[in-house]
Amino acid sequence: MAPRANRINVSLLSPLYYVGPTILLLLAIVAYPIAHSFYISLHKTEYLRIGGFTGLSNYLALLHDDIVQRDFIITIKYVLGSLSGAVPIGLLLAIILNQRLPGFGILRTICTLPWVISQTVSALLWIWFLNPSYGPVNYALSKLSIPTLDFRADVVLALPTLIGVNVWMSYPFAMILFLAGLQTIPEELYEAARIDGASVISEFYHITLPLIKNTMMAACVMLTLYYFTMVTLIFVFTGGGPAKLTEVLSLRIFNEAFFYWRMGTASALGVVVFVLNAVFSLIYIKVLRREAEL
Amino acid sequence: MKQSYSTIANRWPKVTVSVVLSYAVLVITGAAAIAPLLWALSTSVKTTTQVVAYPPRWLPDPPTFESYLQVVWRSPMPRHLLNTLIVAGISIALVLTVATHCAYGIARLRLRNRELLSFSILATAMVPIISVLPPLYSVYARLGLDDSYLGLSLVYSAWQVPTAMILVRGFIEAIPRELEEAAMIDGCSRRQCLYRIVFPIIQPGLVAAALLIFIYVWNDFLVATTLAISDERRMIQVGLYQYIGDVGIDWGRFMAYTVLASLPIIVLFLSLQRRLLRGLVAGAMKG
Repeated sequence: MAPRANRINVSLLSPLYYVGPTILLLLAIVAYPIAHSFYISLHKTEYLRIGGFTGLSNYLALLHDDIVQRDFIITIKYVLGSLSGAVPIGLLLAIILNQRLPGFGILRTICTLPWVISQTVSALLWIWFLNPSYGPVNYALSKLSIPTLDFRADVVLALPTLIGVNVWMSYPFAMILFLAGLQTIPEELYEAARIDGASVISEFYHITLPLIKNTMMAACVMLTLYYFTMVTLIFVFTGGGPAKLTEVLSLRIFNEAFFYWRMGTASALGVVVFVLNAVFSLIYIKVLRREAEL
Repeated sequence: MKQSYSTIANRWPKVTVSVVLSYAVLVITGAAAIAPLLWALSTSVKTTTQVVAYPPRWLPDPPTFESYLQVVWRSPMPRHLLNTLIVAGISIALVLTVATHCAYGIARLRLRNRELLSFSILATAMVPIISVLPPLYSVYARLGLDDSYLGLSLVYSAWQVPTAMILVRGFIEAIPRELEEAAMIDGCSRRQCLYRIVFPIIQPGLVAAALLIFIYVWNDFLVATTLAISDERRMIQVGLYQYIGDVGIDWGRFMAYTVLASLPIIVLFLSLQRRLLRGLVAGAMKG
């Protein structure tokens, strides 16, 4: 019996040699901090010190915090606004690029560039491009006799401008996913439709749209997750201003934690964002599963 | 994606309204995509007086590299660059080592909950970093890991392991099992199979994974600005952001740093576009 017991031992340890380090890393850097975050959120905090147990009071405080509610609405506007820009633009470009005409390779490369550079650089490029005194955009506006606009500091324009920069930065991602989805549609379907005399528009509604619906769902959920948890672009572009009118929830977590050093509030908000994000992720997985079945 | 653009796009199309519109949309989008980049590039080679000239001019006359010299020789940029390269190097080494072993284990060993394990690992990539940063900072401060190369690398690695694992797993599963079985009959152990047979074959996958990790680390601002505060550990995107405070309103120098902070990524993308995009699509779709 001894050798057999020995073999079982080895076969139990052997997988750990391969998957153990990954599990350890993810437990230490991802799982443990999330659990710790939950723990902190149930306690009083002062700077990094964790005080007495306070139950759900950090969460209740969030519920009664008008600014958090406003941040939540701004977040929804930010996510939906960005989606309604990036998804149609990405889809239109993907459909055009899928025709594979001469020169499209290089045009696709140029159209993908904004997605490659960092959020920091994107924000800084647009700060300078939209500069009220020296930027080309305001110069062009002045030619149209429109007075100088300080896009980032204007209470009406700041959020739409921020969304615009975000769309500029992220539409290539949607475009690339859609293009990959379109390339799975067999050319014969379109040829058959053309023989039957279908117009470009009816081709789009009856062939393209139904066949990339799942890719679209997947892209929408992925972009939602991405927009929902974004900090850097907003932090660098507006810093949440003017008058906190562009402060989304994730930026609020950042400020609570590393500006005001209120770790209890920051952790509670962090847990809320984590849970909402997990819900979105589950939807994403469901969508992918359904896509896999088709 | 099976056929490349260059082989297919060699026949000229008939000029129709739809073709003209297609080109128009692409050219307009392309112009909008690249205009802020070109404006920054132009600003970076202007003299200080040209930078603030009104009306603004697209072309510098004459171009000068003064701003770049200032950034390279008279700013902490080289230090930020060095920090970023060190952290990227550690992260790449760590992720590739850990993820390759894990991918091999999941692809080749008879594990009971193989798919559940694979799924759980992928699920961690969905955790938003901003939710983790406040508690992580507290923990790091206690362990003395804040403001260290290792601390930063661990965070980047944790967020890159799942994608790398999926990518490498695909490459491993493409290798016929018979190759390893034959080697094992010849007396190769499991581990030797991984190091001597599988490892050399999956090199292209490892290179693709390394590039994705490099881009991730290079472009990150959020983790770096939270966990590496000191001048000695500052990463390039944070250094860029803080440079505006250092130079006041000298946009020429600021844009020179901006160009330098995006150039390596743009060059990498232009030269390895197809491979990178395939990695991205695979990572996004194989959840």
